[in-house]
Amino acid sequence: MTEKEKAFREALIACVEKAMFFARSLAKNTADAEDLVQEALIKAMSNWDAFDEGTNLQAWLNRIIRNTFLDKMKRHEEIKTETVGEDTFKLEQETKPSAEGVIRTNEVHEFMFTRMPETERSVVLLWAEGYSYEEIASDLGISRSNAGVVLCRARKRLFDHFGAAAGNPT
Amino acid sequence: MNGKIDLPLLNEMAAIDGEHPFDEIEAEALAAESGGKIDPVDVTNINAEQVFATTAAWKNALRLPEIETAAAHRLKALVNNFEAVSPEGSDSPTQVHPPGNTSFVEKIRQWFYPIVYPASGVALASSLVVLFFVGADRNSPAWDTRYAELGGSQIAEPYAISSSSEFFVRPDTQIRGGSPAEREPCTNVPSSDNAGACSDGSAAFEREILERGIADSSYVPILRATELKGVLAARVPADGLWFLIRAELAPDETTDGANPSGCKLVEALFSDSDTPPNEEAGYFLSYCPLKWSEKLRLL
Repeated sequence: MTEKEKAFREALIACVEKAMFFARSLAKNTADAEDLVQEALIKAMSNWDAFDEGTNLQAWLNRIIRNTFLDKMKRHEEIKTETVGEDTFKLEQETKPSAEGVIRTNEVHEFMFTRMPETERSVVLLWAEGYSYEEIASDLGISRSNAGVVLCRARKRLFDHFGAAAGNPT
Repeated sequence: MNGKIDLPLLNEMAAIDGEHPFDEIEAEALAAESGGKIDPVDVTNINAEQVFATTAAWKNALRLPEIETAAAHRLKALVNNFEAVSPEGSDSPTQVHPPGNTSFVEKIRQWFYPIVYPASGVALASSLVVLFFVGADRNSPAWDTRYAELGGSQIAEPYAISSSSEFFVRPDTQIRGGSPAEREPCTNVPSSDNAGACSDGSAAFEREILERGIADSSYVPILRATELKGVLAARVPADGLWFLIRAELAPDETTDGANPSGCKLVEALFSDSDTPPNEEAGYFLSYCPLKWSEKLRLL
């Protein structure tokens, strides 16, 4: 292995956690997210010489993940709709109550994975984790203003669906 | 009309979030992304403070469960241990040779007793320890004859594998900074849950091992890597395990869609052969990478 490839792999390893998080925002469960990331990592390592040094490796990897996800979606839309159901959104940990105690995590996630475009979902999930607009834009390879627009849409969509039930914030 | 997201609205959101204001909005940022499949968002007469303050208060509820660290470890190990497809011939520098004969019982115990590594300075590189057992019958009928006896899905296209076919090698598990703890010897006294048991090679016990491996989802990444490399065989030297992708399966006519399109017939064999053990008998599985769940099924 050349020094250049070794450096590439080390940089790739540093991207894994965020890549998993991004994939988790697309896939319905951790196992599918891991599948997506694994496939993307293999593609990345098989084509590492196609990567331009100095560009954003995280965004490049996330783009591969997203393209892999969209490819699967395009080919198997019918499988996705068949498997949508209660079990698909079973929480992997206990439900966390919201600040108002009304909005429920499992309901929100079900909504996000069935009624929200994947870019909105990824942006709002990154934002909920505490990423800044700049970090969201960098990880997704989009402009800050684009990230802002998508986040604005996502939050309005969530509010329209859950806002009346949750009531006004305190 | 659904209203327009403009700069003042974005900057109200930024102010509530404690972010720097936006200077401009790029034209393409406002383009619809859903192609009409998802309802567009209406921002007409939006009460910005109410929407953004309320959703900011929901952050905790929006968060996904924490990603398990084991998944991240596995993926990092994949990067560290990534190898090219092994070329034909035993003198290839990329060929990985097994460390030496490991008893069948030892392999079963690896399954029931995961290796515990010293805590300091060690990262468990991969949990892809796959255990499979096959009664290695070297005089078995051809695989398609054996599969026909199962009465499973029709074969759409058989693949040709020979002992000289290229194969993907799943490298041995790497451990950084330490060595595996000593394993306890086999006791020859099976416990009620078969833990620590020395197998008598019974079919029931073998299938139990198989089912656990499928439930653990350890096999899918190996098969995925094999496909991505464009070969039909994979070897896991640490366990003397082989996967042979025998055929493409025709979609089932049944309503439960057990075998939708894109499924493959895979045969898993436990063999110490250095080349694809094409003539040996193993266990058949259906492998459906395009399904969201139950990608692997024991047939």
